[in-house]
Amino acid sequence: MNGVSDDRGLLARLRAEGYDFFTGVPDRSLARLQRDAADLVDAQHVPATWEAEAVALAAGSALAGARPCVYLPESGVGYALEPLLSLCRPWGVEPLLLVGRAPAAAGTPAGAAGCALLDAVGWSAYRVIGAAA
Amino acid sequence: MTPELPAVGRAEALAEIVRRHGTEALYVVAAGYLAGALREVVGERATVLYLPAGAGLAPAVGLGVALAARREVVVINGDAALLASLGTTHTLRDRAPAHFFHYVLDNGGRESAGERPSPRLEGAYSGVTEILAVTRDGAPGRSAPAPSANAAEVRDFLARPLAPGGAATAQARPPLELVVLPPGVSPRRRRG
Repeated sequence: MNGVSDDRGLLARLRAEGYDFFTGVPDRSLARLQRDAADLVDAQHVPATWEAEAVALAAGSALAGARPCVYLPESGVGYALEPLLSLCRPWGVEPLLLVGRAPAAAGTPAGAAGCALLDAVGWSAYRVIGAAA
Repeated sequence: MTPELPAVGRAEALAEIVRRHGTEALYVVAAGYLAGALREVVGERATVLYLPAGAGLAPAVGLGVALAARREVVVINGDAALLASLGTTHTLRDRAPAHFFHYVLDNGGRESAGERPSPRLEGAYSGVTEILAVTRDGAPGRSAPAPSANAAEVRDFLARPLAPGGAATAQARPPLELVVLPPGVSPRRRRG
């Protein structure tokens, strides 16, 4: 895991790293990323209805040769765990998670536990974006 | 009152879907009895991505494949699985390409979880190609393959050049000779 304090220029950096498919669930700390991703062609960016759907989309794209990123709020990590463990890991695909972290004052119990959950299951392919990253 | 609509056997419905889309399509099937039943039907004749788990996520996986590959992608889902991630139908409505298909086999419940009933479906949904009423046919004789081997097989299949005509969609083909529900009509099961 590594983190950055905001998402300015993040999409361009990720694309330079070879990531070519973006999906996820909106989060305030990832607003720029989502705005920039909206300019991608439809096949490269799909807003999802919830975190598990986004991870499943990413898993399918990875099987077809894409390098996917999933953006999500830290409070949604719990929803993402099931497909990470039951689809991505058995299939040997590893989408990069971009975890939006809210300021502590705006946090939720689920948000506070989010990255700890990823650590607990050994999912290291994530970056924290936002407050206290 | 909604008229009682006849259901067909699960294997018959699966065979018809495979006949319609052929062996150049990638099939993505939800976990549970559907997966084993599809394996019994297609054997090695078609390439199938079996979800090891993840109730409701087969359509999203299939969409992810379809956006990155030119092959037809045919998702075969169950009624309970559809309901588990119903919001995905909106993502499909907005983003699914023409070579993506999503069938729902409706037997009225989670048969593999002990015949538990699920809430009755609407007659049609955005993002669903067709809903087919099927009978509850019990546990299939085969199970899905190991996920890692299955994923490797699917990767190889997707990397292979398309056979001539393989990218054509099934939209121009004849409709299924099965129960096709008109909008607003809920499927009902024929029991016993």
